[in-house]
Amino acid sequence: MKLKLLQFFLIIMLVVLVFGGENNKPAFAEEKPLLLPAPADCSTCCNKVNLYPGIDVNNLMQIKYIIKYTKFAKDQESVGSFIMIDRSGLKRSRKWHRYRVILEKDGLDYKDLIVLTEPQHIKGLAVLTWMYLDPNRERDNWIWLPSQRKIRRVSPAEDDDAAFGSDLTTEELTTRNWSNETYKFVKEDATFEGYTSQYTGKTYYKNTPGWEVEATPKRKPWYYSKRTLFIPKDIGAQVHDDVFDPNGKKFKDVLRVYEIRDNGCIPMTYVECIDHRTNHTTAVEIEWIRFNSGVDEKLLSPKALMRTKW
Amino acid sequence: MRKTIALFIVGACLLLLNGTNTAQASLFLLDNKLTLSGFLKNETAYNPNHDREFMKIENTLQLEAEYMLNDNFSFFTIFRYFYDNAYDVNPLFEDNRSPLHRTRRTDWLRECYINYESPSLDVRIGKQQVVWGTADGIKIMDVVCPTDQRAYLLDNYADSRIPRWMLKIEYSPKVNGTLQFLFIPDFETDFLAPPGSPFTYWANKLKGDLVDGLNQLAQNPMWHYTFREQRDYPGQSFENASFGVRWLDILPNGLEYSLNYLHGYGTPGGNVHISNLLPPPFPGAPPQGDWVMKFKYHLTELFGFTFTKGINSGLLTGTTVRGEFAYIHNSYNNIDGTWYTFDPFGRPIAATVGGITTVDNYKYVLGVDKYIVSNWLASFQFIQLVTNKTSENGNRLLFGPTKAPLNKYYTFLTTRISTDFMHERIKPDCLFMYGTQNEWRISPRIEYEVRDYLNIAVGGHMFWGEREMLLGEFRDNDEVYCEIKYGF
Repeated sequence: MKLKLLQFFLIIMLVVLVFGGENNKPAFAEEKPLLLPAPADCSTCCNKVNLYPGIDVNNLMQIKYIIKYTKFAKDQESVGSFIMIDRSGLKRSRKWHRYRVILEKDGLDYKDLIVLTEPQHIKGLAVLTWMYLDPNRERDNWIWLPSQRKIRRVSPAEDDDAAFGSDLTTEELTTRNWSNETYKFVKEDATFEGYTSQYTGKTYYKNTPGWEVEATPKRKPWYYSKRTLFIPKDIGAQVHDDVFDPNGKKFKDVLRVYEIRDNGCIPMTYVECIDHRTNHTTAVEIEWIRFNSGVDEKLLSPKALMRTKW
Repeated sequence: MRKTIALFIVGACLLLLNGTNTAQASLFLLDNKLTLSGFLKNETAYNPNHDREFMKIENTLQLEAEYMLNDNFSFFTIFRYFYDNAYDVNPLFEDNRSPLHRTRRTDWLRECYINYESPSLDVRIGKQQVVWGTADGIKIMDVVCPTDQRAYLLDNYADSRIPRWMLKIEYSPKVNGTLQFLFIPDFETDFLAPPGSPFTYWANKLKGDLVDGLNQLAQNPMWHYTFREQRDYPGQSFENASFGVRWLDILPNGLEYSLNYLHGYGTPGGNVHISNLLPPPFPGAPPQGDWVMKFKYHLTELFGFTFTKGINSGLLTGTTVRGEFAYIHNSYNNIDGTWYTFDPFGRPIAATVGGITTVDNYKYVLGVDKYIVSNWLASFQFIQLVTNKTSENGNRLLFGPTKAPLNKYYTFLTTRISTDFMHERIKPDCLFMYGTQNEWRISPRIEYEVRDYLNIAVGGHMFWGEREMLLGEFRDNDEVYCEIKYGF
């Protein structure tokens, strides 16, 4: 009986290993260059996004994802924190150190490593993610568990799960890509009325000209029915999302603040998400972020997680 | 003892009153080169069965320090001290108060090493933990560092693993491939709870009963009984050192695998030698003589491999399969039986109770993990422990933890279900473990993050099964527990 059980398991594992392969289809074909090369004599400069006049909505949204995943640079390193505020005002925080290498070769899109450094009870928790160019290929995840001091290959969290306990879902933070939604312009010459942050109290992007885009998820049923994005003309990525539930009722505001640097890099420096159903807020503050500093790809491998001291 | 409890309660109250919204952060000193952090923790476990009362009232203080000499070199150390009041309040454990109620020997120095890191070469030298394998609830490949099993395998593995002084070198000749080399001059084996402890293995309890019986008989001056324990620890030499090698790589299709080899110490072999043998003083009594319980330690060879694969497309998308396999050659195993030595007249003058033989063990686990419904993670494991023989020359081999007759196969199935609520403030988790000889373990746990720096957990461990089984032997040791942890 035991040998039969073993055989059964081995056959199942073999089937999974053999048929669990992937294809590496390109994500999409580009007609116009979306990124213009950085000056050859500037090693820290980023490629510049090409927001050409009369840009169509699909190319605009491709640029939005280039900026979201910092694909204008070769790599990035940043330090920041999540602050989670519940309806009673109680704040919890997670401080992190993050590394990302943009590859766009051998089927790999980018590799990302986030290490939590505060508070003490989750200090050392690290998540390594490999994203693939094929939008149909699921990402690979490894996690370092400080309580066991060991690495685990983990099933990727479901896309609608809250990322690190925040109000942002996993897909909002890391996995959503251009092919997940369909897009249409609501207004091509819109003006944003501004958004006042509940956490910082500042008003951002008041009277900013830009595009208003409606994005509808292809996956149905899904936790949201559509979202409306405001994309400033000088950035190319949305600074605000209105997210609507399956009944068409707005349930979430997401604010993203960008810094436009002279060297062409456009880092996201602040994110705020409010879930109106729970009155819970998440603020993501980026303490510092740098690009093209030479992050080695070898540091974004399972070995790097095993280096963790906690 | 009262002082300690009072101190902890006062400390905990002060910490609870210490602001409501401020996060306690690590302390950065010397131009941010030195980072200090740590925690204060109380774990209280209570056995609701058999009047055992408190199993653990452990207060732990841990301090962690990291000093970055430069981008490549760092020094890291962990100091830990604990005091377990259960040995004061529970008369069942008072015989073990001295060795177990607080940090043993130099164990307060939990980790201490110098670290060198570069993209292709990492070197870590000093007292550290090295972990192979990923199984839940049982250790297959995670044997580089021995385990403190005073609480069976119920503590967090990071806490129960016994760090060792060693040299670890990792070289990465390619992006994902890493060769690890370990040199371990330090000798250490699993720490098993002595008789009269909260989680004494049944085999150790039998040993304790024997020793108690002999000591009682020795009280009578008319009878001749002596008893001593002899442990033949290996000497400190290059030949007696352990070493290990691991190759870890990821194939283009995402299959991660490792090949492992460890030349290290396995389970010790122990048996009883009786010299100056005389007949029992009355029927049913053990034979008189000088009893010596001898333990021998020897080197075994472990060959193993592990693999993990995330299924990235198709119907099984989001599923992770993993496995680990270990073949342990030349492991010690006890044999049932008594062997006599006779004088020229055919009278027995010495005896050996229990033999030691070498066996080959095969251990493996196959696991599948999958998120089901958003944030509910289900993890299944099939575990099998196999020994190449169950008898030798007509004598039965014995199962180490219970000294019951050894079976060729031990098969376990585990399921772990975990999720979170309230933005990961509440994290329930439950491990179910079933042995095919009808033994069970169920370990539910709920963690609650009160503040960034303050966490509470409640849970329990329940066991069912026959006394001779791995899990069943702890059937009287069910416990419920509470943990309070303050981090800084």
